[in-house]
Amino acid sequence: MSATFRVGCTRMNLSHVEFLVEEALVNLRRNGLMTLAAIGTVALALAVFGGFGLILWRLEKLASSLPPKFAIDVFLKDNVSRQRAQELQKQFEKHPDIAQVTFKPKEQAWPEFQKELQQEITAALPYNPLPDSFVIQVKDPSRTGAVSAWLKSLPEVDAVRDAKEEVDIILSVATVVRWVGIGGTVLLLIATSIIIYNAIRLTVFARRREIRIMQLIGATSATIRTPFVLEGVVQGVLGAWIACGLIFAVSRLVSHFVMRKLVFIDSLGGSPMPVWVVFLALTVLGAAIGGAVSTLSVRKYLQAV
Amino acid sequence: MIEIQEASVTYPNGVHALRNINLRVEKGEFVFLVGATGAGKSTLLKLITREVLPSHGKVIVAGRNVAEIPPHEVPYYRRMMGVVFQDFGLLPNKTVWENVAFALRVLGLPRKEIRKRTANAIELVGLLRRCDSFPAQLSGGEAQRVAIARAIANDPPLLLADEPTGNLDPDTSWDIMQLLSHINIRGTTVLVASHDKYVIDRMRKRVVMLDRGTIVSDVPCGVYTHEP
Repeated sequence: MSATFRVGCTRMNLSHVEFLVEEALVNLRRNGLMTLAAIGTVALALAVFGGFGLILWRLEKLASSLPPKFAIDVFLKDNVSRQRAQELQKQFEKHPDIAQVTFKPKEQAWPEFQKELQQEITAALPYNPLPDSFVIQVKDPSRTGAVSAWLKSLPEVDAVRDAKEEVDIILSVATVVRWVGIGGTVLLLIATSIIIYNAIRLTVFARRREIRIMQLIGATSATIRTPFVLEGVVQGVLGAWIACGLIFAVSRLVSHFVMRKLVFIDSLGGSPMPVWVVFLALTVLGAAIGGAVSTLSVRKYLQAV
Repeated sequence: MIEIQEASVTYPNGVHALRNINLRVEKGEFVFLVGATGAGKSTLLKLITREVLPSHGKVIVAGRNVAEIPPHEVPYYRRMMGVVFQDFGLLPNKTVWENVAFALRVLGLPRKEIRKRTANAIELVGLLRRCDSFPAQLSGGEAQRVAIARAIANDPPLLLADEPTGNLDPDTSWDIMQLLSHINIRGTTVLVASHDKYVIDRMRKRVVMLDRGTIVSDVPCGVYTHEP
């Protein structure tokens, strides 16, 4: 009689896989309302999560694109020769905190200055009053103060102009945005998972009797669990795609009606998150959460008998 | 086929469902388990399906001590028995054909074999014309016939029925019992938990009476004599 127990034990062949996939698809179709409710919940939860992520991405990009725009202007004393200026340039370039050094000779600075101001005003001046200068970009904006102080200490330097205060404000705002973003993302991910768990658990709860029947006719745990997990993955993925549609529709509306009035935000830089990143991230997230919560939900009833 | 030795079942809430039960059922027998609600009939069937384990004593089915079957082997153990419930236990979102075929598909049988066995089982219960109906579209008698077809599709040596006529009118109950009797004649051991006096008295099969968790009588060709 023990041989009977083993019938089909090792048969995980193609037709069995086909059976499990078919089971999942038929159940999705025939439990239409429950499926729609679960997909709708997943879509809304992921749309909120994805939308939050997108806003954060935008703010983060914006914040990190600002500091490099604030370069340090270094003005040399009148008596510094060009040869000495070249030596200084080499010295600056070797400095570990400095990313880029541009020498701006007074002959080049003067026409630019004249162009910026009214030519008539500057034309009255008999000579070029501007000194030779350097425009210096630092690698890490938080080192602006230190680099400025070092430059000021050099005997050849007459004056240093930086935007340390502005950079500091932007950097602290960026730090706050980053931490709020990380905290918010984690909390929202937990909330999203709980909402999806509840939605999918309800679909499993409604079919708990099916699970008992399947157990009594000799279905293995894997055979019972697999269609439920596949259904969870499909619900998660479909929900994620709807969420992507919602996010893109809303972001297009926002950029059409709001950004048009806040042109400076776009001009400040920060490229929008690529479409495929949002699509891929939400699809993977939807599939992972859907599959995981289905596994958890079914496990409870599999242990019952 | 089935041997229960000094088996007791105490549920976690302290209820003693069975006390020192001894029962032996030979291969090919037809046995009624009778008694009032709460007498322990369903628990006795659950001991055999291994839905509950004995707190004391042994349950031996087809030579195997049920308590010693490891959890991963339980599905394979259950494939040697068909189970019929009072509320039919059909999968609501599957047609008659799919419900019967499902029991075979979970075994991983080839499609051709599944088709053949499903058709045979549905033909045996006389429902070939209702193959595409869903359970909600069937009468109680038809639904129970489908449940029986599913239970025997795999041709198991043992058939367990828990109050199979509990939801049916007397004529339909008699038809269902005749069907179980027919299956028994083909060689399947049949255990039926019931308190359907009308049917039991007419069948003249072995009757095991339970009362408050103990066997109070065991009569071959018996009748449902005790009214609780």
